[in-house]
Amino acid sequence: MNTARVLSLGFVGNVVTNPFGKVTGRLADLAEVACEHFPIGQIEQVLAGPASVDTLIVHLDHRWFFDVAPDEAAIGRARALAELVSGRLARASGTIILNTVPFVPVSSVESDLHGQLEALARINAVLFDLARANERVSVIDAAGALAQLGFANALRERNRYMYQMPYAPAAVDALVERYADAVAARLRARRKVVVVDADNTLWGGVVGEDGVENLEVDSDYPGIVHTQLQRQLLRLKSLGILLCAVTKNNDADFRSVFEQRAMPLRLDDFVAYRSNWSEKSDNIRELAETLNLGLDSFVFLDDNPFEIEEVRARLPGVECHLFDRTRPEQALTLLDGIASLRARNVTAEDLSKTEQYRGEAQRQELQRSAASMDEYLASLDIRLHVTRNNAGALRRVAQLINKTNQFNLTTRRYTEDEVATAMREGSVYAARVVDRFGDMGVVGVAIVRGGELETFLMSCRALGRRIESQVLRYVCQEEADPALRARYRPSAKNRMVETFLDENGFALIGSGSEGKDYRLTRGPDDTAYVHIVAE
Amino acid sequence: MTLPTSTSSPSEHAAATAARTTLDRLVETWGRPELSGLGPEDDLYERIDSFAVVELLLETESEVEKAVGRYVPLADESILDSTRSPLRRLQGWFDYVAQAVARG
Repeated sequence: MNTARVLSLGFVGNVVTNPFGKVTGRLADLAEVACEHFPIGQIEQVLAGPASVDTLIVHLDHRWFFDVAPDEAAIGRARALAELVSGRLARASGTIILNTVPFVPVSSVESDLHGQLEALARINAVLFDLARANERVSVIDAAGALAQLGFANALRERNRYMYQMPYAPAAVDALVERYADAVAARLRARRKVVVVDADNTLWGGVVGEDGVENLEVDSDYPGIVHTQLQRQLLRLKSLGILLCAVTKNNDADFRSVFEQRAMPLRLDDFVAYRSNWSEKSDNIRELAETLNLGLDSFVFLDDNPFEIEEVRARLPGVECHLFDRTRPEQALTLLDGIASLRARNVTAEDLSKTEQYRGEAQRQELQRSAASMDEYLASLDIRLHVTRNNAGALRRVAQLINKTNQFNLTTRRYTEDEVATAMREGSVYAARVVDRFGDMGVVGVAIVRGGELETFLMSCRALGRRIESQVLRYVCQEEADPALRARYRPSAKNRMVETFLDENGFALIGSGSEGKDYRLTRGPDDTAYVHIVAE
Repeated sequence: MTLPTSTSSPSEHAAATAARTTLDRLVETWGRPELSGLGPEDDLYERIDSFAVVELLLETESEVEKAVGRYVPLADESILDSTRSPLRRLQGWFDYVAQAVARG
């Protein structure tokens, strides 16, 4: 159990919040959680006051917004709540979790009922707008959670009015699960990859035995089950999840299904796949290496319990789920129920990372098929865009400096202000890499000041293409200082660069417990396949 | 804790047992092991706060529903009344739950 992280949770609401304290148990594997319940009904006071917690859960039932029917005044109450929340976020750290309003309008007049439904939607919309504008706000779908149970089973009206507690224990449990998910989504890394089996999962039947034309994947049962799964996978892809496939099939058979059948998924929706007769665990391990991701980023789906057990036993970090096509009521709610795929939101950066992983997978595939390393590198069409003292790159440069541990000659950290100072006093180079598979963004930084290369680093995802030597070569050329000095400062993580300067035309001039000192001699050799673009 | 003594029908007995089981479970959840040693004449009301009373009531309702197959509201203005609460006597609480089931 990892309890290194400590989290304080505060509850306030217009209902008794104590039963929601069970959320601490649901988060036990992520953090040591301390729980505080503020006095019932003190919503404004807590939001406007000095109470300090990491996460404040504000639980409101409909009575906070309106007495008997949602209306314009209730929407005004929602806006007032949003202002209070915004005010607190401007003053204090931490996150705030709100909830949709669990209420089913009724009326003897149809048009009035429509008005109520619209007003209720607008109350919720105020909360959604707040969450959209502020990363530190979450809104759990309390109304949806209770609707799944059935309002009649979830709500206890007598208790609502007598004891300020409207929820049956099953409803409390459902809400606790939503709260735990919302908190956990901010604490744990989201799994990034869904690996899916093909036969009897992506489609019904076995392509090698039944033939492409007889596979069940269409709009009738049971083919509809597989079609729907493919649609769900496609939706996950649009939410930033990478799709991979592993299947025990001849490669040509697997590909032919995508070529000959009209299906929601196309072959290029998968960032990588393995269609062969190897164990699925071996293929998944290989996919992890191809994507340069840990096995704990993977979710595996298969219809065969044996394959599930094989992967589970050999790759315990992979989360495995059985896809049972004979029980569509379970099979088609499976993906939505996987908590480790949930996230607070999906940013443009997340989606661009998806493209970067896809590009990396394509590079790896190309490398596998290339006759030699030189042929592979030449085919990548690498272009290195290097800027010097570009203030626009300052934030990314500082971010890279402070998170790069392995390919980092000195592991010296800088604040943004310190990087700006280095730009004034010397040269800060930022190297962006573009190749035929995409733009990797700024992946390398060099800082030269006072005749010394005081920082030189490269993001690990750019390594293996000899780009680092070309960046150093460009820096040496631009500085035009024949006596340029450089250092290697050992850390617990940067052994991979211990001989980088020796191998790139620098001469060792001294060494000690603090590392090794070098002076430029001939500098790195040129390579034909990296084109440098000075900006 | 003791078994209920004043129940008469199987469903009343099941309800009172559900009430006892619920209390046992909550005592563990609350981390209040000293409450598990209470006798039938002991006062539970003065040992737990009003939020715990509400939780006990909700959880007992749910457990009784499972035991007798229908929802039986237990909420009553007497429960949080310091002079009339059935929780003033532990056995009184079990009897109260059984009687609520008997009343339907």
